[in-house]
Amino acid sequence: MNTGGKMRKVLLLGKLNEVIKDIDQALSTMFHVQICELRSEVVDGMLKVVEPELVVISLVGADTFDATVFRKLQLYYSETPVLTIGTEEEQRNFYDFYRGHQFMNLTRPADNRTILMAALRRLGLEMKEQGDDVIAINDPQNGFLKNVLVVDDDPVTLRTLKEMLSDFFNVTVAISGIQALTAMGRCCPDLILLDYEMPVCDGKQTLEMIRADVEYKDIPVIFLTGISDREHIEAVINLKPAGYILKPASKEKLVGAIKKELFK
Amino acid sequence: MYQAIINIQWVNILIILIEAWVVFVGMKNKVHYYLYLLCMAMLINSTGYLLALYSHTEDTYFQAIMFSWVGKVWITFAMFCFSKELSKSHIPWIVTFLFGAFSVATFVVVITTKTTNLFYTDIRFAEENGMILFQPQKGPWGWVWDIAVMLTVTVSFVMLLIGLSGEKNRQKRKQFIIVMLALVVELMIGVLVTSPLSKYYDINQFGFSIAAVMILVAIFRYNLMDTEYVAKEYMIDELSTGVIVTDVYGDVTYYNNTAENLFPDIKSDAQKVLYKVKDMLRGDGPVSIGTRSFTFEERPLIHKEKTVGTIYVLLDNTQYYNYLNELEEQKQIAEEANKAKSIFLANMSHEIRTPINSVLGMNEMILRETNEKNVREYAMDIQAAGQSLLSIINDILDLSKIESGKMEVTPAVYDIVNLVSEISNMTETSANNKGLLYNVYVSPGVPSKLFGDDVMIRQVLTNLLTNAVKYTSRGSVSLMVSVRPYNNEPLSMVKYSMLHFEVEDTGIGIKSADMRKLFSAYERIESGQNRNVEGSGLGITISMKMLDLMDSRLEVSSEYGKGSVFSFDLRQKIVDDTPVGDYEGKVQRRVGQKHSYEPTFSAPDAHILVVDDNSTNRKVFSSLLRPTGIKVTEVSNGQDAVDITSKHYFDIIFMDHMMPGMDGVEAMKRIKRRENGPCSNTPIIVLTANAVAGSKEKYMEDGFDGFLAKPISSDRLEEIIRDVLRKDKLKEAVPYKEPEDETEGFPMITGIDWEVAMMRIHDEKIVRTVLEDFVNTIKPQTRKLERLKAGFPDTIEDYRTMVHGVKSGSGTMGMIPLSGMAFVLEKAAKEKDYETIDRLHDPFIKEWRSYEDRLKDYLRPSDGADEEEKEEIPDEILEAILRMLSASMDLMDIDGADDAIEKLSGFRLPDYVEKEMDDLKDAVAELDQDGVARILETIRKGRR
Repeated sequence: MNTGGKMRKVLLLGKLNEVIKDIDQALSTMFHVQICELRSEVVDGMLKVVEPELVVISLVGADTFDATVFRKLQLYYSETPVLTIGTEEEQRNFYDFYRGHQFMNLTRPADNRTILMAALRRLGLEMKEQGDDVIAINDPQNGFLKNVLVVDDDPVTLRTLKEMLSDFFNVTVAISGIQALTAMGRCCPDLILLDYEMPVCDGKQTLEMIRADVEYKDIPVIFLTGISDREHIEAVINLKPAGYILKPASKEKLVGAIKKELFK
Repeated sequence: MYQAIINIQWVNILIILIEAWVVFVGMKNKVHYYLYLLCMAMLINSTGYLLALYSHTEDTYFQAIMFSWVGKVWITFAMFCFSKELSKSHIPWIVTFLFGAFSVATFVVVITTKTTNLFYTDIRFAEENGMILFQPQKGPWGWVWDIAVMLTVTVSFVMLLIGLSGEKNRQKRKQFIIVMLALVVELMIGVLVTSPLSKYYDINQFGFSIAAVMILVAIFRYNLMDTEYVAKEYMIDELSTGVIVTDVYGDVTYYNNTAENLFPDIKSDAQKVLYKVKDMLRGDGPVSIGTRSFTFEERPLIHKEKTVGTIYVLLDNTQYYNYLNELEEQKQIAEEANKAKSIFLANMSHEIRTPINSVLGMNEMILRETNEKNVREYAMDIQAAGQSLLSIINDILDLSKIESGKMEVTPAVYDIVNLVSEISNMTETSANNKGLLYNVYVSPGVPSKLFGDDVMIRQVLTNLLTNAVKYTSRGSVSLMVSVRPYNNEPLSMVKYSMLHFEVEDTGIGIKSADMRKLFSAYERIESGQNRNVEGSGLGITISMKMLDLMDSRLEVSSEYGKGSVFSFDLRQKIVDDTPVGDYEGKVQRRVGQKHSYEPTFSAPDAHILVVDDNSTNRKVFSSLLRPTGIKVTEVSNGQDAVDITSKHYFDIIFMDHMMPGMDGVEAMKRIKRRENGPCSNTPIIVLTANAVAGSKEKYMEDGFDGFLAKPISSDRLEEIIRDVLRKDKLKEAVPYKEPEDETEGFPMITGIDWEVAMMRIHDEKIVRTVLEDFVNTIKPQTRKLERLKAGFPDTIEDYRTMVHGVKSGSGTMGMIPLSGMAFVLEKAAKEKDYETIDRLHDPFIKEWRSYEDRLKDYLRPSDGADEEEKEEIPDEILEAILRMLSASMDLMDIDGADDAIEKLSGFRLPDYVEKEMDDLKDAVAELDQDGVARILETIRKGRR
């Protein structure tokens, strides 16, 4: 499942029943789903807090629904696509709303795969079917930016580096070697910035782990090290990283080195 | 005699006949109808009597009389109706009906009188001179009839009298009088019935014919037959307007002469002409027939509230259209002339402005060069007048430029906060000078960057604000900028915002009668209060036209004596839709960033020497004076000062008192002792930290020309320079622009070298964010380090690693002292030098912790919403945010996690959550997945 650094958020509205649980299940494989009862006051707050990229509405029991929510979506969130899942009859209650581009209905009943594909389509994502899975490709959110994974045990450094590099790359962070491998599983980076001095599993060990994996062994790795004495540099070089940078490093230097490595 | 009587009767009949015929021919209305009836009745009556006169037997005579009665009964009735109609009296119809019925009854009685004897009781005939004489004895009904007649005549007379009194029309009055006279005559003759003459002849007959004659006179002489009607007819017929009338079925029933002239076919084929007319009606504009222009109209013809047909009017509008065309032509000519003038002026603008600028420029030179007081005053006057002239000319030329179409809207990207604040600065100054309050309000929702002609907008706003200040003597002037709702095309890439600008003042206001003058160029509203106001009066006009060019419109509302509001809406393309938010705050910060020092003078030709052994002091001194443009030379000791002053000239020397080697006093003395040196007359000011009472006097005694206490205040420094500098070197203050300095805008914080931070990070925003993160981690990280130290010797390596991290991190951020200490600790840890670590550890932690305080103000100048103002978080929302936080931490999505924390902070949280918040924030700051998970679990437990 290739989701990139961030998961897209979906707000799922409707009556709390089995149907909505199924939809939740279907979508959770690819999105962060937040279920919410279709009550105007609650939905208001939810929309502001979750800021979903897609709103999915289960139309079961539509005749009791308050159209206020629909109206609010139409007026204040006109940029957010809405996917309703309901029968022809249920849809009829809100016919007016389907006139524009914002609202679209998927006829119920639908299986998980169909629901997922409809959601992806609404978000304008292309998808590819890989065996049993459906994955999103050409995700413009991550778009044409390269993915860089930064691994450092110091949270401040991690945050700093992320800030510095976010303008140019898609940055994922990991606070330890182990976490780095988890992160790589989720999103395969194009380059890894690896802190050398880390407790428990230091840079050297982490690199070894990375190199051990067929999938990841060719990913370029740049070391970040604060130690400038000889043995360390030698040890580092022997691991054949793509390069090393002395900490603290300036933004220019970092970005320059990464770009050089990625685009050579 | 017999023959004579017959002849008289024939004459009677003739007269009545003539009248009857005249009435018949001209009969048009009810009055005529009743008159006709009267004539007929009289005719029958007279003819009957004639027949009676011709009869030889009593029977025939009697029958003839009966015949005459057919008419006779109706004479009075007709007379009554005629009078009623003529005088327009309101008599209830029942009266008329009754009288009519009575007349019918009378006739029946007369016919049957032989048997009933009601009318005539006794019918006797006599014969005399060959004539039959009818001598009946009147019966009861006969008397009733006579009385009735008398009564009717009287009533008719009275009706006419009443009508006469109300009638103003002279013709009509004469008509009434004649008819009344006729009635009188009738009456009188009736009386004569008792005379012996009536034995032979029924005098009444005579009476009738006299009345008839009189009425004829009324008809001919006084137009009883109604001029009004004739006139109307005549008019319609002869009018230059064509008239065509159709009935309800659409058939043409009447057309006048003009219509016939216009459409000669109407005689033969009226329908075809009608179609043509209807067709022409459908089109717009005039129809030309021949050389003339006509407008056609169609109207229903209504008589007594019923539509009886349609009337088509063909108005001759030739004159009207001729005027219209000529007017149009004249307007063209006038516009051309105006345009020509504008073009001329626009082209001449350069020619006009250049000499004025020369005059002002030369005047400026005079001001600078002359030392004579008189001349200077004259020059100042010239300057004031010249500026005034220039501004008037500029206004005129601007207006011409706009009118000649040469002014264009040239849009560019601009920042709304800058625009408003710059204009506000200017206005605030002039408002405050007049003792007025100036307010500015920018709605938080206004987008920050827009695309439009900000130069024009500035000009319009400046103009409105200047006017507002001009015309307000007390109170306030306000500028408001807000956003009006605007529907953007949802699929379009381009988004617009509808800005609303408002300028309000509490000035003299504008009378509604004067509103028109407001909008006419060159006219200023003349009123007592206005006479002292300067200006060309063009400001509003120019603004209006500029707004017009930008598809906007100036709106004014005003109350005389209370104030005015000028406003306009402006659609602008959005470049950056980030809401402006806190306008005041932004302005403050920018002001803080800009060099806030505004020099009160400039002296580009002045040269100052500063002598101080401390380089910082010298540097400060120089930078303080930089905005004034004064050239500053620095030397670091007394000897150098003495040397340099032998070779170079300086306007002022600032000498530090305490210096190693030669001190300030010594140096000063030596400089002053030198004769004929370039600085022999140069004032020397002492710089001293010595502020003890009496020291000033001592310095002056020593020989100094002035005294400036350290630390140096720029105000004092300026004051001294102003006092002491040669007057001709003192110039107007020039607004000073500090060269772009990246570290500008950072407050001085001990322990942070902004230059280093900026060098590494380059972006103020990022620096700030990074510092925020740093501050957030201080608590947890220091705690961790303490734990590590407590765990010595096992944890020494980890200690080293951590300290190493702090070294590089704080180094990046310019926290040099902290970084330095970390470096030492790291080295010590590496070498397992526990002693050093012991010594440095606590001060290091202390220093580290101190940054929290130091950075507090910079990072959070205004804390978020007050605790009380936050709303309580609904349960579902809390659940959602915590879920998002958990998901973000799983993915190490820093932004998502930070976002969730921020969202939580915007609400008032229940206690079981609030007490975990600090720890939660720490854990998020540290990117501690396990920590966050633990805390979330605690919260979940706490909820139950």
